[in-house]
Amino acid sequence: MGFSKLTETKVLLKQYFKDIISIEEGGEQRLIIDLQSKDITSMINHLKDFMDFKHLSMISCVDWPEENKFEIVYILTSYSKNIVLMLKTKIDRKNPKLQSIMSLWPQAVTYEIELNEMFGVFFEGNDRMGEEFILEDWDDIPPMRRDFDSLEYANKNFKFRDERKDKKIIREFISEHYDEWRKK
Amino acid sequence: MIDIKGILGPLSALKFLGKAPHTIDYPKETKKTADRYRGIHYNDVEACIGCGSCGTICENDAIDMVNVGFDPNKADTGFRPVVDYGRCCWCALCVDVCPSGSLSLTKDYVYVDDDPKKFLYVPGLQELGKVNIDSTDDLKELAKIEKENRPKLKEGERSWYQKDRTEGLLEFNRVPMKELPGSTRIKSFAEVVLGYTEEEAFMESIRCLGCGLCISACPDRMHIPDYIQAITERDYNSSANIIYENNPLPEMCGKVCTRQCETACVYHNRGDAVAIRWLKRFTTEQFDDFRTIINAEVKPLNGKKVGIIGAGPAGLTVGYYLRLRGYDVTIYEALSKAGGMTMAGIPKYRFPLDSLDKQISYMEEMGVRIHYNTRVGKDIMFDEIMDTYDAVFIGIGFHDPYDLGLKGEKEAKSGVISAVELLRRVNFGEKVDVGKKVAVIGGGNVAIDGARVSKRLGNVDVTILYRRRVQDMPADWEEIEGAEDEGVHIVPQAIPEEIMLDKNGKVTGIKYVMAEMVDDGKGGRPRPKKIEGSEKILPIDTLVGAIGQQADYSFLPDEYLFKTQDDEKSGSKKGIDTFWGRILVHGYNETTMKKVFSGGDMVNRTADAISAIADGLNAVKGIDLFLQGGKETKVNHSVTESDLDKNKLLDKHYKMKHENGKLVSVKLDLSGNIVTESVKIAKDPDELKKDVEKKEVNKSTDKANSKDKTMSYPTKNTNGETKKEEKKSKSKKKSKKKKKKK
Repeated sequence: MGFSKLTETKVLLKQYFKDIISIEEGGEQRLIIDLQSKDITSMINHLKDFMDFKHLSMISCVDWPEENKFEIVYILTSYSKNIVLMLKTKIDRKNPKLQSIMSLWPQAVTYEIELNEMFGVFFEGNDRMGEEFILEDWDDIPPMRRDFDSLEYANKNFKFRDERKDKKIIREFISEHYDEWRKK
Repeated sequence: MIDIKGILGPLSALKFLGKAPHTIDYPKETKKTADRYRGIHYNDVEACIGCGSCGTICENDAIDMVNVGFDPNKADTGFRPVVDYGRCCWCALCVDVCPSGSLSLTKDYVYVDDDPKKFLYVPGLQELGKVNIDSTDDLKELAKIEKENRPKLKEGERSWYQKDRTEGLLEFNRVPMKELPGSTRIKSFAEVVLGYTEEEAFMESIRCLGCGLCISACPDRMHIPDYIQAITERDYNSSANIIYENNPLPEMCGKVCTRQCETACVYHNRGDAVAIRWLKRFTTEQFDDFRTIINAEVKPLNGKKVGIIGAGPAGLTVGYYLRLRGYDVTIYEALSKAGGMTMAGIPKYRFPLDSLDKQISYMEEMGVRIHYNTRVGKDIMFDEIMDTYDAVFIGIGFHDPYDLGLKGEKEAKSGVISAVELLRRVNFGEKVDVGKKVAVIGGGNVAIDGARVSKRLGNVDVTILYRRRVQDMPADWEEIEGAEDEGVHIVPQAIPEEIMLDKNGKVTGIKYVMAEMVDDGKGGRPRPKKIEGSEKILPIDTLVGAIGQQADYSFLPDEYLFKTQDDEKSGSKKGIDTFWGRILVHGYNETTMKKVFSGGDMVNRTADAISAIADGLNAVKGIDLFLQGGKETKVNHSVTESDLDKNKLLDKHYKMKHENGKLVSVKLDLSGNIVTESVKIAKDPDELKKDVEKKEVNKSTDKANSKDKTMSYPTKNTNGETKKEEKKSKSKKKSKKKKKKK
């Protein structure tokens, strides 16, 4: 009788990286690892080279304006171990910089360009940083940030059609007219 | 070498022989859209309630509301969404937030068209491309046609919709309210409902979409979405202020209101309505004393006097808001405590005494004078009140129970009590002996209260006899369930026949007949019909009657009561007109007699506390208009700037006091102590001069003091206050909106 591969990975990772903030199981064959931003590159390196996490599923980002942080999320998969890893790290929102992992997986470049465009996170070492991903001539703050007001942006950049020029705030419009009925 | 692969390779295509082709026979057929393709909207216009949540959440302002011929009612504004596909980005947030679940996305789409108007349409009423919207009149006609011949979506035609409750942005389950278990409850009169914690209230408040449909169902038109929003912002102070704008008894309403608002809530049809009542209760429970937080402006006395008969919810409302408007108000109350039926009729396990006292004492300190133990017609004559006051408000309520009309009722010397009397005696701390077995007759809230109170009077067996089925009971469902939890037996379809008495006239039992429900033939609710030979006798010690109450008009002298004969003779209406025991009132709750206003149970049909408060508020407007000659006094219900300055707040709290036969007002500090004595209302010119001089001196010293303050508490006065002020200004904007609503 031995440990399951999940437990084994958990124990090994804890052994190698003493600075891990937390490591917990997030469902069946899933590990969620929270770590400091300085450790992220060495951790991914180690996982790919020595622990058989060969597949990069995706890189994503969560905005936490309340904490003034961006949370970058890497999802790695190991086919031999049948484990999905979620690596999370929080970086400063004002100066969001992180080491690129394009040397490990070339396809990471696309994810990093996307995050750069949508959140404004800068990946050092990515030579295609700053390229346009889907937005053309974007002149506002990155649109996936939570402080981006999409309604304001839409009204600034797009006109109302003629029929809707006197567009009102819906709640006020309804309460105004509904009140007429209420008074009766 | 022969290239075998080159020869055999093409043969592999043979495997597709006999298989259906992927191509379609265009233009006979059109290609099927992928299942997850998000096309144009579809709205089930009959399920839609026009709350406007779709348009409010829209990130692109792509949705407007238009009237397409649906009549508004209590739970439907009559508006329906119209979508502008020049702006829509198919994010489907509108579908996810739709509380009625009527909105969905179909798989239909249109790529290009010359006419831009084809991309603006009412989902569910128009097929895209068929009709242009030019005016709402066209739409109304269209709605008529479409109502008869509307295309309903078939299964599989929608691509994005709320499949079940777990999808979407909405939470359909209410945060449960903690209650004492039934077995513990019957041991004492302790409050059954325990109230929300801060976190529970927050979780419940964020469910509210803020559509305001509930306002239409509230008789008092309370600003429900606004005070719930304030709870979400954890700004309980302004929440309480918003509530106090048109409800002077919020804690009472938070505990025992009939909450018609919750039946109009958008969640009501598909899940639990937002717990509006519990949220109001939560806000009021945050403060031990309302004086410190309610910033209503109290106008100085304007010399007009108003007399109020009955310190029930209606009378207290009139007293409080007229005092704010600068009237000298006096309330005459027959009982030793104010509150009317909420004091005498509501059991203390639902509405504890201290929470009533808290609200009444606040009112009294704002300057509402209440004369207790003063029954009009006995301790003071109605004539005297009519002579003394410029306007009179009657809010006496229904305190007289109807007789049961049973054989043996009049002969019974003991053992027959009305529920109203039982509740009153128990609430005022009297000891009532009901024996070991009690039967309650009736199916309303009073009957259930009577039963539950009897249960708490010791080890008592309580049975409710009701002539119809349980589902026909007018009592609240929770109340019925609560009673059953506590071990009250409910015998439905039982018609009482006779009260059994012993030689001394004491009740020994009740004879009742079982009934079957018969259709009344007019489509109304079924009537009970006696089943012959099904008589039963229930041995009891006490019979509690709760089949309704009426008002006692005996305090009104004959000349004030309207009589038809006099009317015919003189040709004009004199006196107060009544109809089936209720006082007839007009627009501003004025009776047929000049300067007499009325409200409460003996005026409205719903006969609950919130309707009484609504009546009171209406009468306040009427009395104000009447005494000011058609001009309404404006009162700021939430004074914002001075709210932060406690010193200014002090100025607003007055207490009226009789001194040497003169009425004077005294200032109070926050703990209710008198700060300055004898601020006379009518001042001599010399005194006024002195006062002005004094004030000027005070001003200069005040300035110096305020500087010192900012020095000593820098953090509080800079950061904390500015934030608060911002919030205040927000709530001010809101209150402006509300005024519009009014």
